[in-house]
Amino acid sequence: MHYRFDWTVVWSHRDLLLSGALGTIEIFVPAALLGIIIGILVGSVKSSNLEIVRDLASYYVLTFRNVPAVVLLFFLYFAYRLDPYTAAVVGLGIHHGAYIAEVTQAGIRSCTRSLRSTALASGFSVIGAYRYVIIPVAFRIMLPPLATQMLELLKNTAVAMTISFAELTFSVSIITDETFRGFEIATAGTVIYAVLALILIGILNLVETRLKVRI
Amino acid sequence: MSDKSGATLHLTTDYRHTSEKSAIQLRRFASKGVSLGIFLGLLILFLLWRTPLQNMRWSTIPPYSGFLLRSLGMSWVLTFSSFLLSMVPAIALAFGKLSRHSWLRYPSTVVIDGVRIIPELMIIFWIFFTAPLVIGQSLDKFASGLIALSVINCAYLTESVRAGIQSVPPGLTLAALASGFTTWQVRLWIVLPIAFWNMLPELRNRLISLFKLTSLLYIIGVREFFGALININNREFAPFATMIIAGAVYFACCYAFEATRFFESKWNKVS
Repeated sequence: MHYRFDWTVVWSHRDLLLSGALGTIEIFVPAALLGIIIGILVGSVKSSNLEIVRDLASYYVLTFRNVPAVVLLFFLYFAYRLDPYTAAVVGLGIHHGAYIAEVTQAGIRSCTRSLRSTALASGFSVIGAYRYVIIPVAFRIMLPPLATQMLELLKNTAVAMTISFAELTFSVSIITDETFRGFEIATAGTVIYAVLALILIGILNLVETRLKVRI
Repeated sequence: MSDKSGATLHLTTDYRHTSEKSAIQLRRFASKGVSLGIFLGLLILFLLWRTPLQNMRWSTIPPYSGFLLRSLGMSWVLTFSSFLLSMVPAIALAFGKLSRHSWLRYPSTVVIDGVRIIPELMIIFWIFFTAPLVIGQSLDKFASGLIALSVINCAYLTESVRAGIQSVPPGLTLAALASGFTTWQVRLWIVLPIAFWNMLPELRNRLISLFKLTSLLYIIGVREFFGALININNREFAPFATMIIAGAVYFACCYAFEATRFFESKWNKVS
């Protein structure tokens, strides 16, 4: 091995790395919110009594689960001519919305059918029953798989570099091209991703303990 | 998992008249058709929202059809070969993760979780750009793509294999041990085959994700399907046509693969 390590390059490019990390967070937060909103809407609609609405929801999930995120992002960026940031947020939100819809559906299915009937019988409207009774119960059940989906989304933000949005992987590749110090920079990028993921896991654990119903 | 009311419905006899039954079936069929129509309409509306019809340039694609088919074949080759490559290490890591010895358990957990926490693109970069710097010898594009896919798939497959192994009832292992098999014989000939059958749906999901993942390899210049479409787009500038084709083909391939679950349930009945 003739490679001489030079870790000072990480420190000298710290602002580029940090702005990349900020870019990752900038995409992640709105895309996560959009994904959760789409996912919960579509997932609850999937337990509807109306067959047409139910089918529409399952077609949505089927379509966007089976198309890679990078194709969706390219479509939104090149054919739809959105700017990179919006394309990344909307594309990732739609893509992960489909996965979160499945998670939501499983969560709703795991709380019994009688929960819905009870809520409806005690005078809730259908939307009220979902808003105040079913979703709060299902959300607690679906938190662990939702956390997995959030981690997947955090990883998928790297795909935004393909449509030239300046996030962490993009910064890593730029610095590598500049300095030819690929190993050190990639290590730094990996460490930042790991830290972001650990922070996310911490936040999700906090949410889980906060929401836990104490009897 | 079907709900219990659905299961009891099967047992009760349906006393409705045949013509009524067929009317219900017809209505169900019609509603499926209507919802599919509405969905396709919305999808087309979404696709055409910003793109005027004359700008689609569909006619630029047909001359490249042979090239596209070859690159689609390349995508499949990459998918299956990296899947097979990652199978053996995944099984080894799964047994490592379930091991009694902490010196086996911790390293394999760290390796798997480490790979799972890093973005796929980052791993592709790691292997394509940085591994040659350290090894001192450049890797072929195809080879590094294959290795990257295998590494990523290995980490996820390990979890599936672990779940499959844990789904084998422990009494079975004990019975096999009692009848004189050695530990490794039990693992190889009893636990793994049963785990494999339980794992089949999970394996199919892994294969579908892996196929979708090959689209990211265009970034290091592997000639797979998405990369080919990007090449065509760079030359002809037909982003609408190329991306629609990409979406449609990836959807068709993944859906075709998902449809194999019907055969799976048949096999399970036989076994």
